[in-house]
Amino acid sequence: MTETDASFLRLDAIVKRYPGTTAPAVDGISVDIRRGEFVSLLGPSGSGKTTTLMMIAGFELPSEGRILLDGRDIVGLPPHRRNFGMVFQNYALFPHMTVTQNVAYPLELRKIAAAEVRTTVGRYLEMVGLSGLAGRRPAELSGGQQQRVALARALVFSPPVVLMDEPLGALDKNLREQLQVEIKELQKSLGITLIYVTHDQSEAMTMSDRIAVFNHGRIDQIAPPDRIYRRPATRFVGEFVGDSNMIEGRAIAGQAGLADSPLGRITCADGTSALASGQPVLVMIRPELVRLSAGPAPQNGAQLVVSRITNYGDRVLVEGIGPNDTPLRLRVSAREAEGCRPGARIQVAWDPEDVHVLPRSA
Amino acid sequence: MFNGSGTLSRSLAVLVALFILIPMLLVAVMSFGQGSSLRFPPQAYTLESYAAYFKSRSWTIPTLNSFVIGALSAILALAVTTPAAFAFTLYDFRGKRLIRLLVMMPLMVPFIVMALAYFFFFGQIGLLNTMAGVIIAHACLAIPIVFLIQSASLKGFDWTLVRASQACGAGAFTTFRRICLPILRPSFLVAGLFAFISSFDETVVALFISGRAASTLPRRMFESVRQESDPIVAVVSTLLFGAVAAVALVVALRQRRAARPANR
Amino acid sequence: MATSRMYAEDNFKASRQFWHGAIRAARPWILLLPVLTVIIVLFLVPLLGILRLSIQGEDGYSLASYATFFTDSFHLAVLGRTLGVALIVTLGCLILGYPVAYVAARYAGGLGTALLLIVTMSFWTSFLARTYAWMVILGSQGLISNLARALGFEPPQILFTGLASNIGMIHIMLPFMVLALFAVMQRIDRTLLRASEGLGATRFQTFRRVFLPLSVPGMINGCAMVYIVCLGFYVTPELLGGPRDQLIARQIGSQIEQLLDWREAATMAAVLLAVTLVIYAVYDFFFGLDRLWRS
Repeated sequence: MTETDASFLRLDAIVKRYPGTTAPAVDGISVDIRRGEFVSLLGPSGSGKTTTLMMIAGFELPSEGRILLDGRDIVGLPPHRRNFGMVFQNYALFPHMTVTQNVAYPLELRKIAAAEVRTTVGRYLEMVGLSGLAGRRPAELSGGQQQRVALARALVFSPPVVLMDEPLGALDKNLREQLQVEIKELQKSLGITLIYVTHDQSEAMTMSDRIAVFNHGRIDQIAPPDRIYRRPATRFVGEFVGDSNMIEGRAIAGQAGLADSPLGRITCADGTSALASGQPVLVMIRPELVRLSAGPAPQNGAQLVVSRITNYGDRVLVEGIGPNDTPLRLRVSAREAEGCRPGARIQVAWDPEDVHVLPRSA
Repeated sequence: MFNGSGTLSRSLAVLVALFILIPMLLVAVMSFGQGSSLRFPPQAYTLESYAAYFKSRSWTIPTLNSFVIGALSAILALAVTTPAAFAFTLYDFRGKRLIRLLVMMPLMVPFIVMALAYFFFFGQIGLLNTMAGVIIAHACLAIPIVFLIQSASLKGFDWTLVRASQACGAGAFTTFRRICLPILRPSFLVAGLFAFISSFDETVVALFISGRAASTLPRRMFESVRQESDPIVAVVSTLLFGAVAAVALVVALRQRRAARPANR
Repeated sequence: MATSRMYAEDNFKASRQFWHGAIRAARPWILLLPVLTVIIVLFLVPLLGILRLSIQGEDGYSLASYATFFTDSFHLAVLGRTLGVALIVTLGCLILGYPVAYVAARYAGGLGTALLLIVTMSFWTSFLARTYAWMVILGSQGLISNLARALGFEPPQILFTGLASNIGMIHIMLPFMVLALFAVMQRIDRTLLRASEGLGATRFQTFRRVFLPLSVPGMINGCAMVYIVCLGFYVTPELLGGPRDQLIARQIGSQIEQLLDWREAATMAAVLLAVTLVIYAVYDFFFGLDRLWRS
């Protein structure tokens, strides 16, 4: 990987303040995005992810900071000269143009010869599976078809960077999952650098090379999906991405990989050596990594009194109360949960590899 | 399906509809009549009055005046109001409510008050009894109508289309020409049409400020029914009603046709 | 070197942002300039001109003309009659218009569409043409008189009376009322009516307890609009009404035509304007003017 590839698109200490508001919408974020990378900006609404995307697109001007593309500051460049492809949540297809005209529009603006426009548009329509609908107007298409047109329109001029703002937010679940796969495949085969805004954590998990988790205008963590999931940097990331048990405890000095908690001592394979003795920590265990066990476990386990059982079909969520009134949740298969009834006593256990300890301040 | 109250309401509605419709149909009958414009039924039926209308300069000139005044005042109203409608949708600025009220004022002030105001004002600056005066007055009176229609259509306009166009590589001018204009044009034409009709139908202000030189069709009709009893006024009324009916028919047919592909 | 370049760049960026901000702030005013100029110079100035005229005495400004207006029993009678006639016409329109709008809203397609078409066509037809129609119907040689004669009795004088004027105004304002009512009724959720009937209400009870209350905004809009227009109605009362029951608009009109008394005309116009604006203000206070203009 070359030096320029390491930071193909770089956001450098970007701040966005809106007049009349106290807290900045975006509060000093820095990200390096590699060429051909799929980066998701994930966060709840109002966390600054869309504002960030709009600044990259050029529709918003950052109050501070630089946006570098291949080392060149593009902050002063108006949106139409950035040459980025963009897909919007509501598709934003031009209603007075046919599918073909919509997709041809960016090429015509680039003064490309009519014959080449025709073949290129044809190729991209085929790519998104819409060759048969070339003459239709957007109003005559379904939501999924409209978003495919929007996709073709954003890709047709081979932009170096493509931005997507919750592109699948308005579609139903099945169609969404199908399009997730298609977008990911297009991105890989065309080698596109893609920045993808979403509030749907599973969407970010399945598609991205890296996820940037936004929280109140800052990026709490930017990392590959499995790392975000298994080793969240903050409580917010841990709770926003997936379900979690967060148990408050204290690091134990001198004994690497141990924490004291209401559930007793918990071993953590990652270690706690970076933490000072007695420092308040959060012990995070994913409910699906907690299992029912036959007998009591000395360190990485607990006895619970079952308080509620919810059947989700594929998995069963068992909620229980452990020692010192500590609530704990676990997800098990329906067959495993057969013996569980509210009020029953059960033994649970987990592996030290699945325990993650993070400072409580974070 | 319908019990007593349903039948009652429908019968009442039909009766009122006849009350609305019959006078207009009556005028159509009158237009083919011979003799006094106020006698019903007419003694005989001819097409004479139609011929008389098209031959009489005292009728065709006001008709032409009305078309010219309507078109020019509509264009003027569109030209000054369109930027303002954009400003109101795109920006927040100080005094927005007050300016909105100001723009809507011509709709709020009774026409007879404006007739007096313009009579006096144009008298002072020498525009009384001129086409220019009537055009200016009618353009002012049409501003709120144009503003309301354009504001509504701009509110419905999807501004992410502008962003989409920019993201495709179009600058502001190209975006306006290729995206905004084609999408907004129909409703802007409707706004212009409404402005035209409001001018074409406006009687009170025109009555007092147009004089003989710039007499409009409504003014001519007013004079005709007040002073003469010539049946041409029935012809004009019928032609106006016929034009409305024709437009209504076209609109109804187009709506029916437009409804069909939506079933696909 | 590098620092100075960076400084220059920063400076450039700062100035660019400044201009960006300045243009953004100025743009609405540039766009508003044409309409504001036209409205102020060609609408507000003439309007204020007559207000000034109304307070211009022989020596300096005075409110004498208003004092005259409000102590003169003839003028007060005209004002009172104007307010009363507008009320009669408004109520007439409401009573006649409600069933039409109701049927048009509830029986969409077929009868409803036909009603709407008739109302819309009437709305767009020149009101002079419609006024003329009533002259034909009500005149001494017109439809009703000849019908009465055919039945063997001498018809009373109808044309050139207050009655004729009121009938004509109701006919002309009726489409406004129906369309205002319909705009609101159309949006009444059908499932509410079905829910009411499902709860055991009769059709009439459903109408009275559910539909009628929900249509009140339309009634208010329609009445406000019709009442306001009626206050300044000139043409129809002038052509259909009699000489004895003058309305304020006709008073103003005849002052202009006969060039009698500028100040008196201006004063009457100012009073009419004030009454109109008070009604607008009351409406705005309770409902907001936007609602009136939306329809």
